[in-house]
Amino acid sequence: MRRLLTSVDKELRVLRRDWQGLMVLFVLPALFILIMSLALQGSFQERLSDTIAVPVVDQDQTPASQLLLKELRDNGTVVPKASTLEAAGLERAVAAGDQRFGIVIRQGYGRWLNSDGDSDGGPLVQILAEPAVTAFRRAALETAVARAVQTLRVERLFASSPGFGMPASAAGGQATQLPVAVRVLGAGGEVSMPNAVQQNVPAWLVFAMFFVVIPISTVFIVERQQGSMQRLRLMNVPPGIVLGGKILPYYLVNMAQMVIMLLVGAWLVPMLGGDRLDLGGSPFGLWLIGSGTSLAAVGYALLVSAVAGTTVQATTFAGVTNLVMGAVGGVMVPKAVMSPSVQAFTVLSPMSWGLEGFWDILLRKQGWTAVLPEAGALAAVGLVCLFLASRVFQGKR
Amino acid sequence: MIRISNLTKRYPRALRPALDDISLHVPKGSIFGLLGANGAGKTTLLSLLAGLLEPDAGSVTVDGVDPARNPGIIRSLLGFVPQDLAFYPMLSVWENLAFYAGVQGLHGAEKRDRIEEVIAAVRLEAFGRQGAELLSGGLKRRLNLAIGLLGKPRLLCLDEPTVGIDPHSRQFILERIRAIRDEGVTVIYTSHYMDEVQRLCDSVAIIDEGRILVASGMEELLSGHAGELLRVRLAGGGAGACDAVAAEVAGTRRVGAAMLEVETSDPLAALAQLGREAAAAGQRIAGIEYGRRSLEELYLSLSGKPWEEDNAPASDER
Repeated sequence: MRRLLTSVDKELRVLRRDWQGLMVLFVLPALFILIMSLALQGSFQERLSDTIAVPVVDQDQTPASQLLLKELRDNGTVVPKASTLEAAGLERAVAAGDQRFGIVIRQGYGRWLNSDGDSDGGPLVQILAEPAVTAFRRAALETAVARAVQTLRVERLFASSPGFGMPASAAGGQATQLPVAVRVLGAGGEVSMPNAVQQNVPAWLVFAMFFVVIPISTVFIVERQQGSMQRLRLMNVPPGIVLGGKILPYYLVNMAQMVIMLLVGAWLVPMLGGDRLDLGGSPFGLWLIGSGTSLAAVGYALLVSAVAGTTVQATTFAGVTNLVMGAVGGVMVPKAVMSPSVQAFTVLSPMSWGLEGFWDILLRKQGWTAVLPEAGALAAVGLVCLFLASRVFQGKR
Repeated sequence: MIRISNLTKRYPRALRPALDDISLHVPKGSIFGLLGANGAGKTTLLSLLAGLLEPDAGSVTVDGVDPARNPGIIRSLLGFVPQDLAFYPMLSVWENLAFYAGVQGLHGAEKRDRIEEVIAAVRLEAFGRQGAELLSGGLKRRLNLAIGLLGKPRLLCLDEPTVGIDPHSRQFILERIRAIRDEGVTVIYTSHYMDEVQRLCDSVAIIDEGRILVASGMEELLSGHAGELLRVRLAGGGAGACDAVAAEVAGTRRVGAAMLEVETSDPLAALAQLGREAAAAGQRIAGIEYGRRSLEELYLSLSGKPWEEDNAPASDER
């Protein structure tokens, strides 16, 4: 244990004196979050993908509700699909992030459509959205549904009062009077709409955590090239001490990154006029998902360091793979605005798992148990990488 | 201390063995010089001694222990000082030593005492807090040596420990190595500085292309390999005129543009004859050297090739 602590102590001292490396790890991501959050404040400039597939629970089960689904289908923006779940089940699925959207047509919709008055029982068509869905896409879905309902209502009124009998309110087509409402669902029910900083901070935090590969591989390969690794081997120092000595310091670096980035989002961005990052209600959950992400990042960094022959190889390879993981995982382009076919690939990137885990806490307001799958998967990737790194390292010694 | 018998090692896909049937004996408490061009097999031999490689044939024992079978035991006896500066430039002298001492299991007062001992041994007392990257080349070499001494080795392998430093620092390190030998430590010393090996080592082996050309005590080697050498520098003619003179005096050969060399036990007679032939060829003697062969001259004569790093044969050595 003392030997491991000696190794950890050395690594911390080396890190402390590499202020340029620390700058890359702390200051640059913080600046990035600041700039992106302020620049994208209010809304994301994003495109609407071709169609939105939405599970629908039709509690009304009337010809009018079937007509609404047909209208949506014909419109082309929304592809309604009958959900196998009950309304409450669909709400839970959306709240957990298993479904991005949902539509519930409440009982009474058909009666309202065929009446002349307003709905007196609240929204009859509810659009459910998970917090990670961007405002732009929510608005697009809401507009599509409202337009379909309005069209059907107007047509019905024209049919029942050909020419002159149409009430002014219906003819005016004011969407605000339509019984259509959007609900953004989290663990505790409805949550407030996510803002730019809540989308950006977790994304760039996960991205920054994976960049520990730069200092790890630089020190590791220099140690190998300068003969320190051989010297340690000839001193009977086992690989576990050498590799283990690097895990704890860089885990602490990742944790410091997490704290700093979250504080930037919660305090600095609002001070500069941007949106405030809501930190959710589970610090333990944040620690869990942060730890899983860190283990994956450090394990991956050590594997790259063990395999690469030179620092240039390691930093170039790791830089490019991090960019690819970031792009695929929804860091640069939010997953919600990707087309459905591209979204399917996000699951391949561990950065996407980390992002989902952070969103479970920060956006969906869930507890620590919600991040267990993501944190577990990330930890598993980290352990596999560490195992492979130790095998490669042992072989090269 | 070290016994090597009929040792052979060939790397996969290599055209020739890195070591080919070599046998050596290194007495305890001596400095053993290992000479050879790049690719000669020196590093392979050191790796076999440290248990980093296994031999294809033959045997190696260090204090009766087979390094390949018991690498842990061997490494507890071994101090290794690589040619590269294998420490952390961003750490101070003390921090470097504390790290290497700590990972070897030293702690507390024992660790502190051992660090102070090795710092004193290489005279780095005034530089303990200084960053290693700010040390001069000579002081960096001393730190490299000090790290190798932390584990109180009984066998110390030094790979080019004086490369790239000034004569004063080199002299200091050579003195320290002698002092370490005098404490009973066996030292394996590789260097490209022939004069340094000649002055320092008690015995020496010259390796060329994986074979031992000669292995012997230094004195026996220098005195036993024929005799005295007379060198005469001629003036007044070119290489052609020198060749003409050499052709007239038996056993004489030209080395360089205007230097003749002859091995002789009667230097006066040889000098007189060379003087006569030079005069006959319209040349005169501009300078003479006479004495025992140096180690470098011996290497040249045994290997038949110049001691030039750049001319060293391509190596399969790792």
